[in-house]
Amino acid sequence: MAILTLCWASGMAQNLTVTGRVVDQETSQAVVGSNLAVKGTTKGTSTDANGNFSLVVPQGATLVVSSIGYDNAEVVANSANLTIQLKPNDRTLNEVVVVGYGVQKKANLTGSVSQLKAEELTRRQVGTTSNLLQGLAPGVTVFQSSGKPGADGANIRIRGTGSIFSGTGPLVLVDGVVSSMDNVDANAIESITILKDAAAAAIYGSRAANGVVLVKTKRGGSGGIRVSYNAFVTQQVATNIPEKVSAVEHMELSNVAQRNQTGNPNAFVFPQALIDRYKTTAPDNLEIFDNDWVKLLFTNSGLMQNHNLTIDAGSEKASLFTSISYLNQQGLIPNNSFKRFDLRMNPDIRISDKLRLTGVLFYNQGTRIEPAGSEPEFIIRQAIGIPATGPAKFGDGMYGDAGQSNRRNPLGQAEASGIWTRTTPSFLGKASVIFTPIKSLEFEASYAREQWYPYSKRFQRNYDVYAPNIAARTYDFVAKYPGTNSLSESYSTNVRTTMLGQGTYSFKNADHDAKLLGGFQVEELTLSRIGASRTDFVNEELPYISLGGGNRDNSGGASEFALAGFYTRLNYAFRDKYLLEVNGRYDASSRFSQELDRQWGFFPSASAGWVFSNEKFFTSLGNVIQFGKIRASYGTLGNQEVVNALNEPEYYPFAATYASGTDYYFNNTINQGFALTEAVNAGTTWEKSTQKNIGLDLTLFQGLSITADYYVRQISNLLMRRPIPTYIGLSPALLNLGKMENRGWEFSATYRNRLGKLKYDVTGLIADVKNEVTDLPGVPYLDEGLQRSAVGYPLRSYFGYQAIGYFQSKEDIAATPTHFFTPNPGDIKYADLNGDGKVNADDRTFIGNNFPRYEYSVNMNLAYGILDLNLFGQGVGQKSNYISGTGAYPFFAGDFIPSLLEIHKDYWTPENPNATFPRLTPAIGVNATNSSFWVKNSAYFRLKNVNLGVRIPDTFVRKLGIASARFYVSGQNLFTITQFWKGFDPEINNNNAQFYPLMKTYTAGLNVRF
Amino acid sequence: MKKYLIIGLLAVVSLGCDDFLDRQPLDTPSSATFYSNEAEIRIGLTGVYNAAFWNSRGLVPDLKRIEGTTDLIISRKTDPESLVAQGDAGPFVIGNAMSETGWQQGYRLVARANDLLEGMKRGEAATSKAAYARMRAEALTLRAWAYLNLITWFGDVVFITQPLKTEEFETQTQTSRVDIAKALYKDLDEAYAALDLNPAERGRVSKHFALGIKARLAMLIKDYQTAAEATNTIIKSGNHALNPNYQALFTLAGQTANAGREVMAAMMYPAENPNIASWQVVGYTPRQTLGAQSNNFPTQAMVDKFECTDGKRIDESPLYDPANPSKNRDKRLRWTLYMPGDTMEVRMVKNQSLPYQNPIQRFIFNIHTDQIFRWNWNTGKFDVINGNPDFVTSSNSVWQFGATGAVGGVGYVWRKYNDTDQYAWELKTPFIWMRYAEILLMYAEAKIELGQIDASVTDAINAVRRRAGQPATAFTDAVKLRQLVRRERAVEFATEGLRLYDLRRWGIVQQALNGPIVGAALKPAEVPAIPSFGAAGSVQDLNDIPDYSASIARRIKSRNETRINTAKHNLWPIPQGELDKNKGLKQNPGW
Repeated sequence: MAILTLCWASGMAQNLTVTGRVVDQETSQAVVGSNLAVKGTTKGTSTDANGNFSLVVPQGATLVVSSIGYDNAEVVANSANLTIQLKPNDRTLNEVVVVGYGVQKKANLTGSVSQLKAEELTRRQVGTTSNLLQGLAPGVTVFQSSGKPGADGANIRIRGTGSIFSGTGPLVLVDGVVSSMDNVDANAIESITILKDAAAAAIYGSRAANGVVLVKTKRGGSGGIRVSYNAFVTQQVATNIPEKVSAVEHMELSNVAQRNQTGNPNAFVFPQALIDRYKTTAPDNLEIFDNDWVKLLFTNSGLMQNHNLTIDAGSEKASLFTSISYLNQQGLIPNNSFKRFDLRMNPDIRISDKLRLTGVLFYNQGTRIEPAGSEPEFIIRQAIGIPATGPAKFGDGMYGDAGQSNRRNPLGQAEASGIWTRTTPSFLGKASVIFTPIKSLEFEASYAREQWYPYSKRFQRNYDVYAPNIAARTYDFVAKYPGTNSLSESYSTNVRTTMLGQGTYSFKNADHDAKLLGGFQVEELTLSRIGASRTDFVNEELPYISLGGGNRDNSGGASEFALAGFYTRLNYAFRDKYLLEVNGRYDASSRFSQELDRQWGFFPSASAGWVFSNEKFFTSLGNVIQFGKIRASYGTLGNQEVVNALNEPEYYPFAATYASGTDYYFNNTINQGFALTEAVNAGTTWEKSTQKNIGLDLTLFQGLSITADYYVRQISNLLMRRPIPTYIGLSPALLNLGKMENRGWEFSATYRNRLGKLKYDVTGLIADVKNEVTDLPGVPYLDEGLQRSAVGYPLRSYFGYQAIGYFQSKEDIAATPTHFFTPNPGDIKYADLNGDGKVNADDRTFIGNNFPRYEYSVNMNLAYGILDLNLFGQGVGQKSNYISGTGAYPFFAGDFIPSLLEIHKDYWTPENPNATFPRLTPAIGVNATNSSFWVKNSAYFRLKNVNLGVRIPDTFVRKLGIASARFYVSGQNLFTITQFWKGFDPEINNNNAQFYPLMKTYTAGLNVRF
Repeated sequence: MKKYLIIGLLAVVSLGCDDFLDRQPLDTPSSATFYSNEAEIRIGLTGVYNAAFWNSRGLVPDLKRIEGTTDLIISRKTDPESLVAQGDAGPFVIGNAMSETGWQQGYRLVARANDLLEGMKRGEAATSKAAYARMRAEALTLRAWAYLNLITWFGDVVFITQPLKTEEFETQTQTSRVDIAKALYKDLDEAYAALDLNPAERGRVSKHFALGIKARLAMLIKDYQTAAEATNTIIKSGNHALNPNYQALFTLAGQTANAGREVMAAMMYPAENPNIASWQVVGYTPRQTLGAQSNNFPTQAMVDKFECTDGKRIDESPLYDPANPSKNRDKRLRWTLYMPGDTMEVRMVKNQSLPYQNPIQRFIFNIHTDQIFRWNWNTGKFDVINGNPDFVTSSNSVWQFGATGAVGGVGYVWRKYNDTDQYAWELKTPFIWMRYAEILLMYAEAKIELGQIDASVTDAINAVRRRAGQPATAFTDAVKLRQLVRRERAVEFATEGLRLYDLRRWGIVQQALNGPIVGAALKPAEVPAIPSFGAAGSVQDLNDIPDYSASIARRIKSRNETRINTAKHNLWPIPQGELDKNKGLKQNPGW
């Protein structure tokens, strides 16, 4: 119901220029971006940042005013000046949702779809858009495994993991084109839609098995020019970093370990006299060292700043949305940063009432800088692992050998090993023609071309290693590290073209509402690359390929693939009560054999809904249940995303390819050879996933909306490399063999209300998905070392011995079943699970899984006058994490001389029988055996975001020519509740202390509209 | 009607899509197109040769590793070949890395050859007839080489001669080794006809290598007639001859100078890539060398097989002095191995590092005192350095008490293939697969077994002995000649990868690989007794298998290694994984 107030003025002209303002009925605040349409025409406009509009209309025409979150209002335009009040409406089900190849009214959805709107996406300040999805949609698991600038994007899994050896990420489309959402600045996004079930995703056929994410960017309005500027500055610090022992502790504990190892109570690594000297003498960086490597290394600012300018310019005939962004993100260590510039222009031209042109022009350039010597993760692992006794740095450009025989010094590597620059310019152009010959019929044709050119230049230079000359109290030059400088460069050219043609026919009368969509799409991707490298550059200031003297090498290659598909959808609603949707896609991929007719496949889905709240018998309950709908869907989806053993796309799984590098040495020289090394299954085809979903949407009372879903994803034809007899002489081929199931449920509830002047809304989500491998024909299990996949267990579960404490004494050892090793008191004891009196490989079992279960989040927004506050917490109810390597084990690194961590000081001794860690030994040895000892509970709850904003009063900012301004401070990952290891982040999996920390951030930001 | 129109339209568009969707690999040859011309077949053939490059663990030729499973060698206790040699005392279990590697390498070569032999038909029209026949012959020869080794190691194996379809992978059965050998005769005859007598490139298989494989197959299945004919063809051709200098066979320069004469086939190494090398020398240098990695050593049984210069075995010759065992011996003893007191030269560094590496190190191989005698290139004298890690009677001697078995032999070090012209870590000397001396000895053995003893038999044996300076034999008795040929093969080809083949076909695995492994005298002053070789005419006697019961206390008995080989050790077990995947396969007896 709308209430409107008309302020009369006289006007006699046929056409009337109406100017006015649209405001919230309750707060009298301007309603920005509301749409005004002249009823019965395509004429219209929308309100600007102040809620103002201006429109030329025939005298007496009816204006239809609409805005998300408000009831529609109709106003007769018989005054030149109107103030239109809109009534807030929490019945968000009237919203329109972006779906595959179109839009749909949310109330009529029969599939499982989550939509995120612009305002939800700008509350958090991150460098990569993919992270914004975390905790906002039930059933969508977002893993961020690194905080490294430019590489801190998240992996997304929709409703669990959908494949073992093929792609598991969703299809991400930005404005209909396959693209990375991390390329898009959050300020330019209008909405993100996540299609979760078969009904919603089947229209994307062979690429939809892992769900679909649709990103829609903003477009221009028709109400003049609106400019806004959004900026923030963020200080990033590591969420967690393990703490290491001091130099003295390192030496003392090394001796303890040596004594445990040798059984000789007088054994030592460091003589007591030296330890005593360390205790009495302050570090002098000459003879006595006590270096906190992490502190020495983490010297970069960690500052991130983002600036975004959007210009929304438009009239009734044409509009242009422009967004320009710049991001600069500094890492924690020297020579580690990411910069991104992007420019987006989205034009719309209305040639006539029947013909429209829309387009997207996009340019983006990201530049990632890292030290050339080693990747930052390895440098950080060294800093965590190298003993405090190692000499770090003696002066400018004078590095110590870090106590390492190979002289590799993490500080030298970070500061002075040269730079590795990776830049990717990308261009995207898309143009669409939309032709509407009659009102009920619409045709669209579009063409998009996306090109990106990754360029990498890595110049590894030498740093100088010095050693103390104690007698002279100076430092002598020792060597250059690594001794040889080298340059490698590579360029690639990648082009993706997408063409689409589709038609939509709609029919609507009082009872029936039907829409039929049909179309086809083709897509082609071509990739080519070339690279060169050389070593021995005489002048390190001139890192150009031609100047290198040695190891001249080059390489190049190309690949391509193509997809084609025909799709159709029928929507039908009877009196808005009974809903039906049928989707189908006939899809082909060049990844499969044309010869064997494996390219084409048909992927159908059907779904139905019943809006029971629209039934007559329900009207009496109307005050309690405002809206209620039951949905059910069923469909089949495909997964053509075949990857190779290195997890890179495999474009020709049907073809036997000959491997290079199978050379031979006639006349003692290298002769190029090619050989078939892999068996091939020419009949390889897509993995299939069948999904069933039932769901419920409810709106209760005034402001409580609830969505619940239960689903079963059955995945079959899983591609596996089943081991074949060795006498075949080839490595195994991909076969469509396995089966797997994901069962899960999702629940979300949102409550909106106000208490006096306090407006608030709270959203809670909880979801779970349980994976089970259901069939692995011909294979007892898939063994990936620590992780094993077997029928009846979740994919990639941890597999090992069941640890049952420590051997406490010689007597205890004698009384325990024989182990597969000779134990000493203080070693980890394992369970004899099969009770045969021996602990051996047969006693191993499944000991955990790292896929998160029971993910939940709470998101709360409060607004009071000029203040607004967002609180967002996210957590995981059940998850195991196996940590090993430098992080978990004392005195263990594998690739350098290691120390140990502060937590390791709680080690087993006869006096400390319940220690956190086993007895100390110089190498972890048998205690590193895969066992439940190292599986830790990594469930957590994390305060993901706090954002407090203040709107500077309009009266004040208007004097500055500003329409509105908001200033805010925010913080992310501010605190975490977890039982996980101290110093390690529960969100990072398989932690061997080789990681780039996730970030805790403190942000100050500004949103200004002109 | 409209429906049909749409279907029709779809059909038209999908047909048009066929070209659009037809995408073949661009930067890699694929099965659809590869082997389409002569050049492609040639690089595919190089890929087949690549699968014959058996140099897997620690960059040591696998055939040399396999020699470590025999009575001539003691290697690191935990090395798989050492476990094989120890037999039931090992334990040599199914899944031993040496036998599994052999199986895997053999069949990889078979698969590549099969793929080429089938695939090259695509390019037949675009290839000259002679080149096509020659390349086909090369692949057939390499495949036969793979099977020769497989049936030597495993007996009856799966015999695959063309690429298999996926559904045929698990349905293969074994073929008897006799049938396999006979089938390979045909391939080798075809190869003989098409191969070059002297290939332009060193490392390519030749006419006579194909015939030599045929002879080895025939000897293995005791088809002595075929073996005698094949070897006789080679001898009669006059294309090959013994290198007058035995030592030159095992150096890069020596092999290059004598190319195509005695060495008939060898595994090649590239000069350009330092990482593809043969670490044989690195593997047998003792610890008193700077930078050594000792792991594979001659046994006393090896040493005692070398005759005295009078042509008699040490227990029969009056020239043998147990206090001075290196005196009056077959010259090949000194060319094959170092004994305590010998001066050794090795090159373990690339550049000069004075005073001890010029870049050759010279030192006196010493195990009997705590001293190392290292040649000082600055002073031109041996420096005497204390702390000899090889000091045999010290409290922590690696020879005597190396309980972990990480290092240490029994007092001897290999010399064969040591080449001071080359940096040992980048040794490029081709590893010999077959040489003319073996053809001569196979000819002699085949004729002896056939009972056709004539002058050609003794001529063949004596040619080999003459080069070593050993007296010509005048035996005409088959029993004595057989013993002599067997002894010749042991001493002539030590570490060249023939011993396991010989032990098995002579049926003496159980006798030769039995009992404690002993070595040089613990203390030179306490001279060990001369070993016994069993009763005259016994298997021990006729195969020169020594018995050290009388001297065991006075000899180095590294790690107390005692070998127990039962009948089942005449063949290696088929890898368990193969039996698991293909239930139709049979395990070898006793496993």
